[in-house]
Amino acid sequence: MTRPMTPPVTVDARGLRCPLPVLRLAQALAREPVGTAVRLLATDPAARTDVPAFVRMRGLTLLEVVDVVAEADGGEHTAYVVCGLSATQSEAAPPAHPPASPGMPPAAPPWPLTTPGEA
Amino acid sequence: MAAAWEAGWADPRRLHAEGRQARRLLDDARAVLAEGLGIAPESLSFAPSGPAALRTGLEGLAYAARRTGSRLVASAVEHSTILLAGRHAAAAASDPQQFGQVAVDLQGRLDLDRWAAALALPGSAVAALQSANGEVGTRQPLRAAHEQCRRHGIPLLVDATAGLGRDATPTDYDVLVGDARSFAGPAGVGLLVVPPRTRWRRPGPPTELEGGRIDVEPVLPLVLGAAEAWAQSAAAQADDAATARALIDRLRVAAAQIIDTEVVGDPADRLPHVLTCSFLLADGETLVTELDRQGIGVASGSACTSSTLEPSHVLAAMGALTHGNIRITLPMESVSPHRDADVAALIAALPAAVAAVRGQVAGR
Repeated sequence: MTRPMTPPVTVDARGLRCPLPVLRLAQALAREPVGTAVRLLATDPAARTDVPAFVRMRGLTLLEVVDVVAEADGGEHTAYVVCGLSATQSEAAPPAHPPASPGMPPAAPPWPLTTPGEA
Repeated sequence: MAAAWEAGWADPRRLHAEGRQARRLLDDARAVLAEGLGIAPESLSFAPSGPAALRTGLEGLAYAARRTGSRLVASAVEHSTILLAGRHAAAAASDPQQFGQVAVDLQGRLDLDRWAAALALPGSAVAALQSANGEVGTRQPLRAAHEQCRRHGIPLLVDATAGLGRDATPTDYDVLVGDARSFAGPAGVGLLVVPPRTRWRRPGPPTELEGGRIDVEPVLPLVLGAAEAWAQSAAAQADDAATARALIDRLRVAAAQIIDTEVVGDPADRLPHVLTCSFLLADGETLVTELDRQGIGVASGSACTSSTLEPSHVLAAMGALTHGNIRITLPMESVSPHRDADVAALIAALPAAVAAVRGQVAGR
């Protein structure tokens, strides 16, 4: 999956508990033009399951999940980058996530989930 | 239950008249339950609870297989008793390989290819799999999973604590575990089935109780209550399951009509009486409270409703939405004669309750 050209909009939901991180993400996606990538920062353990589930239910694309182990400001959290369908359609990506059905990719990602090349 | 306390107070090991009567009652109760499970009475031991029976069942299999290895293989959606035992053993040995957790699909069903691969790893000694998941209802492919275990010479413990007496009794197992609560029996009666063909050995000091498997005396009145509950529910089981299944089907349809809702678990190959669903951007805790205010008791697997703030391990392993989650477990009709009215009330109340909770969440 190609990373978006423009730096994504960042939503900071660190310290918030479910369902607020997903709510903040949904609000940001609704606010920005279609296709904008939104980076969600969250500490809630439920977000690890709920962000991918939200992406699947809404037919969005999860571009990246990065565990940030330590940072000058803020400490341990996870960053999720999500964008609307249109951003991937132009890249002729395979049809994104169909609604809940058998044959989905493995449900539980191996924990901790990291993207190659990231801290 | 009152009659059971009246009749079953004496010590079944004593030779006085009351003791002999207590022994007879215990034998009768064991015979009723064993017949229901399709096993010999000697194969059935009573444990202090379902989880205790799970733990003991696992320990005896592991001890008997200790020369093969010590690795436990289990699905990622097992009862926490199994998962904690596996994690504890792996942590104690400082070897994560001592516990093989096998992934499930979005319906919560075991991935049989990964199951086979996990069993094939050297050191695999014991396997554990539920007959069906108590949270989302999905049945597991016991026959195929057991077949693979046999191919590798690994004994399989089947956890039927979620559905025993509500769904068909499993036949593909080496050790079977149940809990009297699943068929409306009292809490405090775990069922441990170890057929003669199974290599099972109790670690630690021997016991003369319960076929040498349990070192806690069964509480006779509770066992009598469990046998009575089984006898009463067995006759009605098929009818009760069919009615419960139809009610849950109605609930599934009604829930799915609410926008942004994930109805979790297999729609057909499932326990008859269990339903879980998650409402996107709703809050499980508030939803449970809102329904409770209307006199409808539901549970939740959402993190906000758990003391640890972790979401349900079952929903997480499935990749299902964990927030805004509610779980419904229909009691048997004999226990709850108005359950169809209760289901109708829930169906009527749900759309407005979800909308109200979502509105509240959106304002935060």
